[in-house]
Amino acid sequence: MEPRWLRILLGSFFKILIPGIIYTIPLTLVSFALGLIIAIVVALIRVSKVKVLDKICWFYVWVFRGTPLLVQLFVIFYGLPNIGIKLSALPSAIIAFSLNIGAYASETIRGSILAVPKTQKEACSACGFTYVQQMAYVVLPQALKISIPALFNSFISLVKDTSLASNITVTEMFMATQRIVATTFEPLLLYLEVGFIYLMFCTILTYVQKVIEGKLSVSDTGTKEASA
Amino acid sequence: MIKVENLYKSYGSLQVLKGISTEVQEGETLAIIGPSGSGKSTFLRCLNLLEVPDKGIVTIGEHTYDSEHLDKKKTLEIQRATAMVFQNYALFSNMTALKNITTPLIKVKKIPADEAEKTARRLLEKVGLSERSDFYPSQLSGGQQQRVGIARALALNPDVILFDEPTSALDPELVQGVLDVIKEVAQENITTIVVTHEMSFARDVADRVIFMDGGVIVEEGDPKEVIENPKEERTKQFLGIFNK
Repeated sequence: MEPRWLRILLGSFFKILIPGIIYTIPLTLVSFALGLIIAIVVALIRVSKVKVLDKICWFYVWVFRGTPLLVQLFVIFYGLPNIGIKLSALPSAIIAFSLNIGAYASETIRGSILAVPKTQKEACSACGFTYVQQMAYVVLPQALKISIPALFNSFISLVKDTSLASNITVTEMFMATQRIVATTFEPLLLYLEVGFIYLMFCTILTYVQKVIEGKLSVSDTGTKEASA
Repeated sequence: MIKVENLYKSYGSLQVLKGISTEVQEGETLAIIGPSGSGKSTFLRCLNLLEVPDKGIVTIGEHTYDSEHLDKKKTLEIQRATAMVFQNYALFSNMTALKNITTPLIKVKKIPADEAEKTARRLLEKVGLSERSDFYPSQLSGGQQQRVGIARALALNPDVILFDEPTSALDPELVQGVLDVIKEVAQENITTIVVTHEMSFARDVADRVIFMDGGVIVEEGDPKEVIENPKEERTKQFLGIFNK
C-alpha cells in the first residue's frame, strides 16, 4: 500500500496538469502573442512620435503599468458589465493579460529601438530606405533581438500571473488545485505540487529562451570563424 | 555632375561649414583632405542629407535641393541618388554580406530578388569576398566589412559615391586592400568624393583635391600640385609632415 500523501499527489497530478494544458498554456501563449503585437505597435508609435496617438499610448502604458493586474482583471470581468459590456471569463482574462503585457513590453521594445546604433539608421538613409523600411528591415529586427531577455522575463511572469485568472472563474491550474484542496484538506502538499508544475513550465521556457538566443547570436558572435 | 553653392552648416553657435562651393564633373574622383574638425565629413554628410545644411543649393545629377526648402520626398530623392561608404562600415548587422547588398536593391530599387542576388554576387566577387557572402558583419574583419560596404554602394548605381574616411578605422595592414578597391572604383568612371587622411592615395588616385580647414576650402586643384607644392600657408603647414 502506498502512503496517503503519495496517493494524493499522484491522484491529483493530472487533475492539475490537464487544466494547465487546457487553460494556463493557451491563455499564456495567446495573451503573450497579442501583448507582443500591442507592444510593437505602441513602441513604434512612441518612437516615431506620431501626434495624438503618441499621447494615447503614453496614457495606456501609464495606466496599465501603474495599476495591479488583479484590479485590471476585476474591472474587465466584473466592472464592464455595468456599462453593458459582458465578456465571459476567458476572453476577459486574455484582454487583461494582453493589455498588461503590451504595456510592459512596449517599454522594453521602445528602449531596444533606441539602443540600435545611430549608424545603422544612417546607413538606411544613405541607402535610400524610407522610415518605414528602415524600421521594418533593420531597426526592429535588431531591437527585438536586444529585447529577448527582457521579453522572456515578461513571458515567464505571465505564466505565473495567469493563476490570477482563477479569481474571475477561469478554471486554470490554480483553481483546479484549490478545488482538490477543498476535498482533501492537504493544502501544503497540493500547493507545493502546483508550484512545481509552474516551475516546470517556466523551466521549459527558460530552455526555449536559451535556444533562441543561441540561434540569434550567430549574427553577433559568429559560429563561422572570422578570418582576415 | 555635382554642383554645390554656398553651403552653410552650424551646430548651435559652432559654424562648421562657412560657404562651401564646388563642382564635381561626371566620372571625376574628388579627394577632400584637411585636419580633424575642418568640416570635411560634415560637408560630405550634407551632400546626402544625413546632416541638413542651414543654407545652400546642391545639385546631384538631375536632382537639386535648396537647404531651406527641404521635405521628406526631396530628402529621399537625394538619398536615392547617392550612396555612402562609412568610416565604421555601418553594414546592417542583422543581415549577411549578401543581404546587405540585396536588401536595398530589392526594397529601394525594386529590382527582382534573383536579379539583385546576381548583382550582389558579382560585386562581392569584384571586392574579393565571394566566399564570405553568407557571413554576418560580425564574422568579418574590418577590411572585409568595408569591402562589403563598397559593394553595397556600387550596387545602388548612384550618381555619386561618398566615401567618409573609409580606411580610418582599419588596421594598417588592411588599409591597402580597401584602398585598392576604391582605386578600382575611381578608375571606372563613377563619380566619387573621398574624404581621406591617406595623402598618397589622394595624390595618386584623385583627379582633383580639396584642402579644407575651418569650414572653408583653403586650396583646391591638381592633387600632385596641392599635395606636393601647396601654395597656401595653412596647406603647407598641414602637409608639412607628409612632405618631409
